[in-house]
Amino acid sequence: MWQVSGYGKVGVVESEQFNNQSKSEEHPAEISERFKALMPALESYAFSILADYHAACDVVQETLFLVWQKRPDLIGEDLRAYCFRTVWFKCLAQQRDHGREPVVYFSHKAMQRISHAAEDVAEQHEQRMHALETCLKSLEPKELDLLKLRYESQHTLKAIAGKSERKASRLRKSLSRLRLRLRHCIETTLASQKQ
Amino acid sequence: MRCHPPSPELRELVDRLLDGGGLDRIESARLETLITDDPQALDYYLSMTTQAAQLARVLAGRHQAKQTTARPFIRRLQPLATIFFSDYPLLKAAAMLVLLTCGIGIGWLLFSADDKIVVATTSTSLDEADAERKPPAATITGLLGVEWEDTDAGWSLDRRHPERLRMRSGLAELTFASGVRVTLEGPADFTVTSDLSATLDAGKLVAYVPPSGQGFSIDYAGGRVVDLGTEFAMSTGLNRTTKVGVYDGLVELHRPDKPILRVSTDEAIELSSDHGLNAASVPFDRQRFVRSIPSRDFAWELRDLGPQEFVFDVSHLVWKAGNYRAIFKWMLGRDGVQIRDVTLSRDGVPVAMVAQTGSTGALDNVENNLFELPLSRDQARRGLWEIRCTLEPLDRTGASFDPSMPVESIGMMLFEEGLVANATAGDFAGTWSYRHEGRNFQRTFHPDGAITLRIDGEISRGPLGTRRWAVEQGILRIPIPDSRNPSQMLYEEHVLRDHDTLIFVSNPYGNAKREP
Repeated sequence: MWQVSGYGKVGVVESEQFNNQSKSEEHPAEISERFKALMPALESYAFSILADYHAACDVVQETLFLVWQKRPDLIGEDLRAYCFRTVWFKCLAQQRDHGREPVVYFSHKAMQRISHAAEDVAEQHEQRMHALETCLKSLEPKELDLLKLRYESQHTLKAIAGKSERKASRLRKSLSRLRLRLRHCIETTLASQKQ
Repeated sequence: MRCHPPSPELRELVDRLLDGGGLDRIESARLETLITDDPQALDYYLSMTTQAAQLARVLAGRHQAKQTTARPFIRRLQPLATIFFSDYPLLKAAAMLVLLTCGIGIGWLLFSADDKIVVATTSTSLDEADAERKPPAATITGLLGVEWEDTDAGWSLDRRHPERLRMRSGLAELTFASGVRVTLEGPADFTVTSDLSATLDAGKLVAYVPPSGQGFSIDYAGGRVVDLGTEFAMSTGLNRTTKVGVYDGLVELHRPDKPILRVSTDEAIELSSDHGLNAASVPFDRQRFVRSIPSRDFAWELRDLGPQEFVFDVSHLVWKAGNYRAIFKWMLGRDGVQIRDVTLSRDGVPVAMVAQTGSTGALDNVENNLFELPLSRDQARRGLWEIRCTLEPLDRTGASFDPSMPVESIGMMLFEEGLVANATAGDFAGTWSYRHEGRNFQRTFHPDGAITLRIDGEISRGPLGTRRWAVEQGILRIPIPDSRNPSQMLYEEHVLRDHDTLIFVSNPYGNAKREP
């Protein structure tokens, strides 16, 4: 159990989903499976704190690599919690060291607040992912193409506008509307699953 | 998480983030305010950032539905790397780099037939590594008369990068990693939360915010001040009110459920907790706040024969009881100077005086030029504090210059408190740099008592290198044979102003700075 400033909850949450405790007899392949399952949630968590997808991916890469290195020392530890905690520290380091120009300048206090709330979201990451996949099926091909340009290729809006010869302002509005629609669809889907 | 619609401002800011454009410091501060003040706004932010991260994964085809049943072992040599290194080429590169750097000796390495690797190495703790790399959010760069709330220890090394400062009195200067400089006046309770933010629970401060610190914010009871300009003052805690005044530039006052207030140059606003943080314009009393740590150095100059009385106003330096020291240091001129009748007085009434006559000048004229002026808790009250003293040129009999030449002696009185009285050998050990007559000097005080002097990088073969140093009653002393009378010893003396500032008591050099 950890008591870490700015990172409280994940360190003490018991989650059955990832079969938390690292066992002495566990084979590396099993751990790697668990890491693989954790990655999307870690990426989302890091992205919520840093608001930069590439930086979030870097943080998750570094985290998993470090956790893998420390694997022999982690027998009996809650690996999921340890990974989240490590991501939190890596995010702090990322923001502090400014290895790349930050896309947002959050204070430490705000990052803590986001981190705490993002932990709750991370707990239902899998359900949200499934809901998103379902919701994407309801989109027009043109809308899906726009999302792919932005999220699959990680092009900025400016770059997409240049490629598609469309006005950036119109693209911005289209993307904004799409995000809101998806959000509404995801939350509705999740709410209906609870009932 | 419920699906509340976002405000237009929140939607705009989050869209701009998710469109890849980024937010500047002011926009970031605004978004931060929105999502930290309103849980629904935070819900919105998180739902959109989570959605963006998941879209990136799903649309890139990197997401696979979770296995509903446990998979058996894959195969013995297809562990972690097989799976996630293919997703993360950087990770693979990093793994290889570690191997190249560390060598196989400290870890183990398995290669499968298809060039997948697994690495396990002994490694240092992540926390330790992070702590080593972590630059402090803020550093104490000046202290004056500080009495800490939680200890009587005064200055100590572990306070140099504080998270929280609780002061009964005095002044502390903090320099943030962002370049922001805060001068804090006790009594105060101040917490550093990042290189761009802090909390003031009680006390007074002045913040100077350079362009690199734009967006610097200070939380107070019930709200937040965000700097958009260059210099502002604030006080809080007294009579449940918070005052904010702007010397130069612009600040924003954020209050829950109230519109943002902008305060510009020469304006001041008072917020009362008893009145729901309602704002009222008040006169900005600029003199109420201390904008920087005041100087401790006072110049004096003698141009005439005979005694002269000097009075130095040290009111801004007397904040508490303590062992104050007045150091008279000669800097220039042909005449040595006698010092006597040194008195510390409050409102014209002597409070501490020393029955001591000393002298200053070139090294062979320096004797007893440090005057101890202890001040008890009862005596340490605010008022007009002055150092009074009599200075007189030394008798010129036997001088090496023409005695008919005019009197000339220029120097400084240094008024010190704190480490000057209680520094130990450990505080002095290290390398100190200073400049003199256009050259760079470095003195290293080795823990074993040895001394190394470097001049412009070259080790000096002068007498200092053969001497030993020792510390008594806060003063570092180095015995040096008098060149005119080798059987007699002269003493170079040093004291510490603070952890990083070394004062030459007996030499006409500027203060030395500690080398990192």
